Amino acid sequence: MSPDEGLAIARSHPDLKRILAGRARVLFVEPVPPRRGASDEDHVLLSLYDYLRDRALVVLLDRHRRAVVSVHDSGARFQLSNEEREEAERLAANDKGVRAFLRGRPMQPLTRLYFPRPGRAEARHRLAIVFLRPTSRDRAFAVVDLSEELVLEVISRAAFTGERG
Amino acid sequence: MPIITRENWRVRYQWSQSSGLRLGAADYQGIRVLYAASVPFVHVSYQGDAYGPFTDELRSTTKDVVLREIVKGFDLVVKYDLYGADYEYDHIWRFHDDGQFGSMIVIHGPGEEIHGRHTYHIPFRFDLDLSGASGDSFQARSPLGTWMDVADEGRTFPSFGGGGDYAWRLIDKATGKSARLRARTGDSAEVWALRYKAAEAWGSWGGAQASAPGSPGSVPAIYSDGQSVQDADVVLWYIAHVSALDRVSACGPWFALDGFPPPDEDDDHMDDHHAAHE
Repeated sequence: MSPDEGLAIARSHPDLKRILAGRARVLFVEPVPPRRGASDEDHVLLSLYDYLRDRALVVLLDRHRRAVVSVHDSGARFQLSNEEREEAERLAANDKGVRAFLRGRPMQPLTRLYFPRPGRAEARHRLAIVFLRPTSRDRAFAVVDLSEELVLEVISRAAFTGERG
Repeated sequence: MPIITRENWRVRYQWSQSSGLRLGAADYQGIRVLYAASVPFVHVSYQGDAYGPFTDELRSTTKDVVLREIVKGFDLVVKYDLYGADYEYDHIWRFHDDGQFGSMIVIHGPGEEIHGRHTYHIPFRFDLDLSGASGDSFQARSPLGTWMDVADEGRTFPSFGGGGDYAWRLIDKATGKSARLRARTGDSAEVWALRYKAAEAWGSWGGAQASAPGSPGSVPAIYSDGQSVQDADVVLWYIAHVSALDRVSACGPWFALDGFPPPDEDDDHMDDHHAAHE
């Protein structure tokens, strides 16, 4: 099942329809193993991120009935979707601090799910860290707040790896 | 889901977009052993408290799964190379014809620095079904070598320091079938036994938290609410904590089965070699 097919089914659920009308994205769509005793691959797991409320939802879909079986808040943060990764890299590419570090060199980004240290204001937000790799030796790291759609800071390698506080 | 039938095993597997090569149901000698297994993510934390950790998603530039024949068994092998050579992992699921099996992650590194100033925290989740979903009991080996029931959900460490011997087991007391679990030396391993819960199972599709797996407030602790892990549907989370000091490293648990029929050494075949993955 594609993310678009999953989204179409999710929109048939009134709560999900409301969330999807705001700012939300599909993180992944995966077939789940058959329930014990059930036929194979009846169900598909769809994960959504609701940026307005900063929460991840997991939605169980019945692929044959094309219906929402259940919706749950997830206590965990799921990995970035390709779309989120691309957005983080786009925001980083437009950031003044990132451009100053790159000095026209290619960004060659690698982007992951990031967690700020506890107590930071953005701790509840959905964050990405974009590794900036203009050469095989030079590195800096852009922390991107996907909930607020902005770059929070650009960190040097020495600071990030603890070689310099 | 592709299926391999080989060396007394019948194993379903799937290539997932969020957590690499996962296993579905696996039977040994026609008897269910596993319902599902996965390595949801890798949590990487660098020294110093200035900046937060991040997670490496177990993704690959290809969808190839290599079937590798080995002595008395086979491997399913994939390479997680999406993030390039500095952040590469290999993942090996190994099965032997006598019922031994395991999951190993090879950490190539070096990551972002070369002085061992970061740590890889790697959770391995095993939803074991020993001849049925319920009726399994979690036990830990005491310092005297006897198996002791662990009453409730939570974190356990090897009573004799870890590595080299089987420190835990899941047993179906009605049938006597059990799966012993051994930590790899150097993993600084811990094992969490939990009752199966839908939220916990769904979280295994890459769900992470800010603190390292195993710590309070992280996975799998957030799924633990003190339920009994005796005569129940029990899920095991094995967590390896591997320093970047030793390069290249491997981590992951190893299982051995007891109470199953003796190995049948005839009749190797496979349904699917280098299967296509959707």
